[in-house]
Amino acid sequence: MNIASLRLNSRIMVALAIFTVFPITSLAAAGRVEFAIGGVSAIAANGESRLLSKGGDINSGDTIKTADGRVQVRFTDGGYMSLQPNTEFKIESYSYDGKQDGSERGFFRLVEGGLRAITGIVGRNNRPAYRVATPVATIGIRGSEFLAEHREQKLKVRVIGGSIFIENEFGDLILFKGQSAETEEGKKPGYSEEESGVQAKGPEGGNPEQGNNESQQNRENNNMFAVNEVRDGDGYSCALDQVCAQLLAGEPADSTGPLTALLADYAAQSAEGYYYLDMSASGAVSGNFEGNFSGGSMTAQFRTYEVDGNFSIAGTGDYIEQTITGTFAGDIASAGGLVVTGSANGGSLCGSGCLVSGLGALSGSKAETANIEFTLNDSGLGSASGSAVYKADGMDDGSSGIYIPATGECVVGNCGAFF
Amino acid sequence: MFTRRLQALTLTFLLATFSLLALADETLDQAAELIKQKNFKPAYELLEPLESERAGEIDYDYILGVAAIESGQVSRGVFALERVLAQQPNNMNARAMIAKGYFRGGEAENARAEFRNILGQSDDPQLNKLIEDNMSAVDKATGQATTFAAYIDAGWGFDSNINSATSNSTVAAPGIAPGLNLTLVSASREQSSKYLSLAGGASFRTPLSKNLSLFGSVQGSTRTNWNESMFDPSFVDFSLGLNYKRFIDNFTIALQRNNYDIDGNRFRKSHGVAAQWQRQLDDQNQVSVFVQTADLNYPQSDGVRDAQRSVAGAAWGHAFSGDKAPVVYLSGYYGEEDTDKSRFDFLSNDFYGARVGGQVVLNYKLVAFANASYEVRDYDKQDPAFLKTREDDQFDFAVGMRYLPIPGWTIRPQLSYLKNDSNISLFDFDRTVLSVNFRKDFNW
Repeated sequence: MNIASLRLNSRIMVALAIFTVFPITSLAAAGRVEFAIGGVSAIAANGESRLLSKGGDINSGDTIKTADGRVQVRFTDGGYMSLQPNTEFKIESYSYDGKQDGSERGFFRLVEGGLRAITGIVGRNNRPAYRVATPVATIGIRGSEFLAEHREQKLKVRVIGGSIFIENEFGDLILFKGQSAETEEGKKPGYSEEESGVQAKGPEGGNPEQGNNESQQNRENNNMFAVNEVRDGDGYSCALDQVCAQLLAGEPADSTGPLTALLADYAAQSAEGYYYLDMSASGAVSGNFEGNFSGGSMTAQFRTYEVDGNFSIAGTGDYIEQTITGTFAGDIASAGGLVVTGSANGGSLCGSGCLVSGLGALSGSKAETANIEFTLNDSGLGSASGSAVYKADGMDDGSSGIYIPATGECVVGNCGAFF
Repeated sequence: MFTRRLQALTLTFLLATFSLLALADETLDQAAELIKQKNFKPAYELLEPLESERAGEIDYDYILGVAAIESGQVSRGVFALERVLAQQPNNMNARAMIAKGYFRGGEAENARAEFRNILGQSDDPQLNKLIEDNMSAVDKATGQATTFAAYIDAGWGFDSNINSATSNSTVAAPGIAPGLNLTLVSASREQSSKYLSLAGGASFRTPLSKNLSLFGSVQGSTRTNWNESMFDPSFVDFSLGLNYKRFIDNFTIALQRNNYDIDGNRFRKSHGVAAQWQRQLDDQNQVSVFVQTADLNYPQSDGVRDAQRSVAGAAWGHAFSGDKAPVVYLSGYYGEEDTDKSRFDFLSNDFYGARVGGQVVLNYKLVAFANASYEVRDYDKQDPAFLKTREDDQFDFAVGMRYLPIPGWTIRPQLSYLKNDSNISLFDFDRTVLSVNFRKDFNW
C-alpha cells in the first residue's frame, strides 16, 4: 500500500465516519424558516451560531433561541412549529426522507418557553418516532395540533386537534382535543383546571347529545297519548267501556257526568233497577238478520254491579214473521259501562242458537237509561247487531224503576221505595 | 349567539381591511371576495400553497388567517395571525381574529386576554362595546356567566293517527265477550288530521362556582287538530338541576315536572328526578350513563294507571371529522313501569329499547338528520279483558332537515313514522306525521 492509497483510504474512512454519525438524510435540512422576527438564532451541533431569517435552513442538532423574537419553522415532513418569545428549542434528532419506513424520526427538546405545533408525517403511523422532551415530561403525538409551554419548571400542554400523550416517570396521560394538562418535577401529569373546552364544537359542528335529545323528544311527542290506553275504573280500555268512550269522545254521557259516585251509592244501599226495553228508542237490527226490537227487560243488581235481562227481535222483510229471543247477563263497570254476554234462539239466524254480546252503558241522572249494542253471532250463518234502549222510568206513579230498600243510610232520593 | 357576534366582528373588520387593501394582488383580491361570500374553504385552499413564499406579508397573512380560522384550520390561522401581530402589534383586526381562533381552538383564556388587549388599545366606544359583548359571550359559552335562552316554535303538519289508535273497527275481548268481536266507537279508531302547533320555552344557566352550575327551564307546547279537538294535546315541562363539570366528566341531576293535557283536561302529571354522567372520551367520542325515575299520575282514571316509571341506560355519540361534521349516536335503555295498585299489574311493564341516529351538515345553513328507535314492552300479568299478557314491539323513525335561513331562525321539515305491534289488536297502530316547524331562538 503506497502513501497515496493510504491517504485515499483515510479520506474514505473519515467520510464513512461522518456518514455513520449523520446519516445521509440528515445532511439535508430538517426544515425551513417560514417566518422570523426579532433576534432569533440557531446554534448548530458544532456550536456555531447564526441568525435565522425567512428561508433559512434548520438542521438536526440545531438549538433555536428566540429571545424576544418569534420563529415559525416548517419541517420536511409537513410539520409546522411556531416558537414563542423567550424559547429555547432543540432539534435533537430529525430524519425524514419522504418514506415512512421506520427510519423517520423527530426528537425535539423544549428546554424553556412555549410553542404551538402542528405535527407532520413523522409519528403519524410510528408514534414512538416523534417526541418533544421537556425537563419534567415528554410529549408524544397522535397526529396533533397542540401547544406546550415550559416555564418555571412547570409544563402546560393543551390539545387543539387530534391527541397527544404526556408522560414522565410518575405516570402518563392521553389528552384529546380541547383538553389541557400540566405537570412539574416529581409529579404525575394531570388534567389542568382550565376549561377543557370539550363543548367548543358547539352548535355548528353538531352535538351528539343534542341529536339524542331531539330523537327522544320526537319519540315522546309521537307516543305520549294513545286513546286506547285510557282506562276505566276497572282498568279496562275505554274502547271497551261505552260510558268511558262516550265521556272521552265528549258524547251525551258527558252531560250527566260519570256515574261512579251514583252507582257507588246504589251499591252501598243494595239498590235494584228494573228496566223495560223501549221499542221506539231502540234502533233497528241489521246484518244477516233484519228486524226491530219488540220487547225485553233488564234487572240491575247494583250491590254486585251485575245485570241480567232479555230481549226479543221481530224480523222484517219478505219472510214469514220470525222472532229471535235472547237472554243475557253481565257486569256494570264502576263508571256505568255495561258488558254482557248471553245466547239467543229463533229466526233464520239463530235457529241453531246464537252467541250474544253486548257493550253499553247506563246513563241519566238516576242511571235510568241503559243503551246496549247487541251482537248476535252464529258461527255458520253470520251475525246481526242492533242497539237496544232499556228504560227504568215506566212506573205508574211516575217514579223511575230504581228501587232502594229501606235499609242503610239513604243518600239518593227517596228510600225504601221506587223513585 | 357567540358565533353571530364574532361574525359581526369579523365582518366589521373584513370590510374595514378590504377597503384599505390596495388589491393590487389578484390572488388576495380573489380570496377576499370568497371570504365575503363566506366561501372560506376555497379561500384557504387558494392561499395555503403560497404560504412558504408569502408568509410574513401582512395582508396575505391576515386574509389567510381569516380563511383558515373560518374554515376550521384553527392552528394554521393562528400561525398566520401571529405573524401579523408580530409585525403590527396594534393591528386590532388581526387581534380580534386571533381571539376568535383561540376560542375556536378551545382557548377561552387566551381569547379573553386578546379581547382585553384590544380594549386596552382602542378608544372607539363602538368597538369597545362589541369587544365587551364578545368577552361576555366567551364567558357565557364557557359557562362562566349566566345565560338565558328562549324559543318559540310554530308548526303545521299532517298526522295520520292523531289518537294513536288502531285502524281495526272491531276487536276481540274474550275476557268480556267470548267468541265475539266488539265494535269500536270512532274515538277508539285511527283518525287523521292536519294540525297546527305552537311551542315555547325559556331556560337559564348560572355558574355557582367554577365547575358547578345551576340550570332551569320551562317549556310548553299546544297543538290544534283541524278535524277533531278531543285529542288536542298540550303540555308544560319544568326542570331545575345542577351540573358539575370536571375535566372530561360532566354530572347532571335535575328535578322534572310535566303536566300533560288532552283537550284542556289534565290527562297526566308526572314528577321525577333524572341523573346523568357524561364523559368525553376524546374529541370524537362521548359516552353517558343515565337514570330517571318519575311518578306518573292520571287524575281521570281513578288511579288505575298511576305508576312509578324508572329507566336506566347508556349512550354513545361519535362525531366524525370532515367538512360535513357527521355525528352518530346510539343508546340503549331498560326500564320498568309499575302501577301503584297491584290489582292493575296487568298494566305494569318492563321495557327496553335502542335508539340510533345521526346528522350531517350539508352546508353551514343546512343540516340533515335521521333517527330510529325500537322498543319492546313486556307486561307483567294477563289482561282480564283480553285474557293475554300484552307484548308490544314499537319501531319509529324520523328524517328531516334543519335549515337556518338567518341566524336565530330554524325551519325544520320532518317526516316521522311510528308503528306499534301488539299481540292485542286494540293496541296495534301506526302513525305517520309530516310536519314543518318554524323556530326562533333567543339568547341573552
